[in-house]
Amino acid sequence: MAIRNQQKPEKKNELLSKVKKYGFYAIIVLLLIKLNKPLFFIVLFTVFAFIGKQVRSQFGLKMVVLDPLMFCALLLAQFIDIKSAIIYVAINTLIVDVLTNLVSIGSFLNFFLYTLSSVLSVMLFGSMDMLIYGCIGSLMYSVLYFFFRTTVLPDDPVAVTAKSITSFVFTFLYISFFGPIFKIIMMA
Amino acid sequence: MEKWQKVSAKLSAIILSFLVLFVNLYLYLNGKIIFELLLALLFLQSLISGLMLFTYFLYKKFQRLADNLGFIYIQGTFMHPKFEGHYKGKWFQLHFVSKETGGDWGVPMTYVKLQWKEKKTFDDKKLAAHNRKDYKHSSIIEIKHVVRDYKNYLLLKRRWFTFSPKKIEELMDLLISLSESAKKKTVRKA
Repeated sequence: MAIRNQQKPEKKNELLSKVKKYGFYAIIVLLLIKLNKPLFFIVLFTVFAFIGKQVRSQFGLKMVVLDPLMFCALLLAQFIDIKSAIIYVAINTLIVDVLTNLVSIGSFLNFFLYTLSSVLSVMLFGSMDMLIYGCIGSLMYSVLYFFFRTTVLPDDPVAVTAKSITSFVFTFLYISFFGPIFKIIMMA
Repeated sequence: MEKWQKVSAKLSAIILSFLVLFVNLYLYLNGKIIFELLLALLFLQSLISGLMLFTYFLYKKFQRLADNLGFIYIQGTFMHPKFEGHYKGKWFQLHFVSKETGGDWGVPMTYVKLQWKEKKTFDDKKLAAHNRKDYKHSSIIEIKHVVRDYKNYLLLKRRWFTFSPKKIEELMDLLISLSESAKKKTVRKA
């Protein structure tokens, strides 16, 4: 009975600390929205990319590119600025790999390809519909990734082909279904 | 799980999916949400449902394989189960894995383990002769001898999951033959 009574206040304290922690995060997010729109979207999209990578690793889907990195880079390049897109890509390719001790030439290649594809497609075709410059950007990344990973930095051909195809397919799906609502939010 | 519990779980999942769909449609048709948001919510629901169906589909395949081999599910997650049982009088374990780190991270692998309680020793060179080679219908990554406190086993790592009892039996037969040809000596447990 004494142990059960002790457990109840401990659970209440744990719940209270969780409420305080998430309340604090919510205040930070609201402040970011008010103070610095680009930073807010960089943080938000980094969280999305993290969730996508977690789902992918949980399911062991190495050859399926689920994370919305390309999609978010395109949105940032189009609706915020090019600098924010480059910072976002740098965080999610180079900095994350440095922090997890997984940095390699592949990390730099990814940074280069994501930045080039997103920035170039927005600069050249940004005046057209999102679906057009989005598909061009993701196709550019997939083709360049396939080229570099089969000639310059060779990797397993099955993995490279699968990643190229799934990267394009999922970016296309994200642009088609999430693109319109994000366009409205980011232009507000 | 009882049969009625399985049926109720499936029915609940289907009902919940339809409920979410109808709520979204209702909100849109009554002007509470815009079309763009409806599109995003429908896609999100499809994505989550797709992943859950994929997980369930894999789970059924694993279950059928275990039943065909006469093995018992001992532990593991939906995606990475462990089965144990006997084949030709030998104690085997199957483990389906996908590592998050290491050289073969993210690649689904099938581990076949031929196990003993008494300690054994093997010629590692003979075991390694099959490493990174194709054997019948399987691509073998590695074969090695692993020693734990309570057991030791010959571990065969096969690239990709397999749900074919025939391919699993080929690998188990290989391990049985290697356990004889690569054996050094047996140290009986006191």
